[in-house]
Amino acid sequence: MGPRTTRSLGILLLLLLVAGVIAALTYIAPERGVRPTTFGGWIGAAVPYIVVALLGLAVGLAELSSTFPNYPLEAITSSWGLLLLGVNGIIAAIVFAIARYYSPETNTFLLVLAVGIGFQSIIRTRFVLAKQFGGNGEGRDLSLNLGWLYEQFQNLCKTQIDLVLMRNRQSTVEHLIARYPSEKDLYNLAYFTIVARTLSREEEQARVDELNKLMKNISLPLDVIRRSLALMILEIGGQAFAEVLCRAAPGAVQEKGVLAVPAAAPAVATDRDQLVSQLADSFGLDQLADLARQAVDRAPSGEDREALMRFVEGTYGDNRASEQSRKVILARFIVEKGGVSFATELLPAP
Amino acid sequence: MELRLNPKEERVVEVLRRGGAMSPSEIAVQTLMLPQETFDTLARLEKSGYIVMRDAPSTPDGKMVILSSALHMVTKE
Repeated sequence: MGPRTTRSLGILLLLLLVAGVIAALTYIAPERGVRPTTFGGWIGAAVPYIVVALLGLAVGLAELSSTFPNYPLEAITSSWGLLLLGVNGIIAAIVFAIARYYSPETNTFLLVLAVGIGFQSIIRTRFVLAKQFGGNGEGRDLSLNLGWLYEQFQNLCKTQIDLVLMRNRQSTVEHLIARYPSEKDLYNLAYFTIVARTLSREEEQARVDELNKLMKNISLPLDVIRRSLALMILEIGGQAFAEVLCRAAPGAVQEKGVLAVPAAAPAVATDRDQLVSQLADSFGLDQLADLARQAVDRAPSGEDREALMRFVEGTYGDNRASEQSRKVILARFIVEKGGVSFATELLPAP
Repeated sequence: MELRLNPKEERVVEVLRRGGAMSPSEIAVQTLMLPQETFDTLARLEKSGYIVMRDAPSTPDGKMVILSSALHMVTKE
């Protein structure tokens, strides 16, 4: 069973449970103690319960999405997230039934408001009855913490959701690193994920700062850098985006942040960096210069072929640079200007 | 932030702004600057704090170059 099916089933189960409890409460504690006789009457009688339960669910949703701002959907649809929502909705409906039972004459609208909003506030409140002079509200102050029980339950849910998210994060990070082993590709993906999001100026700058701070830290091992970059992509782009990237072909990172995402990854990786390395390892400087001259003829129309030829000759003859650097640059030129298929054809058969 | 760049440095910054992280060989091919010219320009930009160069064993050059975060917003404007 896929994660989407599990999520849908969980949500369906939660809705059925809440609906079942509401149906039972409507039967046990109908308005003014009179049970309706028609279907429309039952629906009408259930409306206040539905509103109160929805208010409870809304508060639970707000709590979860603010606690897990980077993974709101995953947190909400996890089993412990759904449990927290269910408890909020169901308890609110039960409290409404009790309130209605003990004060049947109270206006239903006011009662819905009082329970729907008031109850949610009360179970999260800590009253300080006597406060120490200069105290910070803690320590020796005399207080009544009505929210203690709910706080414990919230903490339990948070820990459990966090553990589930960590397991999922770990697996997605591994997939991203397997698909994009190059730290350069991971950096570019992270950078373009930041730029592509609709972040405020300050937020975008803060994220780029964080990204570059990571890259500047030369004491960090490359593996840690790769994992941090993958985690950043996941946190900024979200789980669905990371999954799309994992399904994308190797070498799918294009210039200017455009990402080609074919339906399935091809069997042969066409990684340009790998091709450049293979060319530089397979040929000497003279041979690479000859191949680069051939690549000039294959350069896309609109390119200044004279300038390209000057570059090839200049690189070949630039004795101030090491031979290895010149080989790599010429190999890069062959791949970029001659095209991947031309460069691949040049490689000696394995 | 006012940038004090010569034309070659401007070309490198522009290429990095459009392409993200790159290896020195990619920069050389994109800007059509000769090898030593490229390395000298990169060294100057790194010294001025406009770019960051770090080891990247997965690239054929063994290095990758990125724009410093200070330049991110400036070049975006």
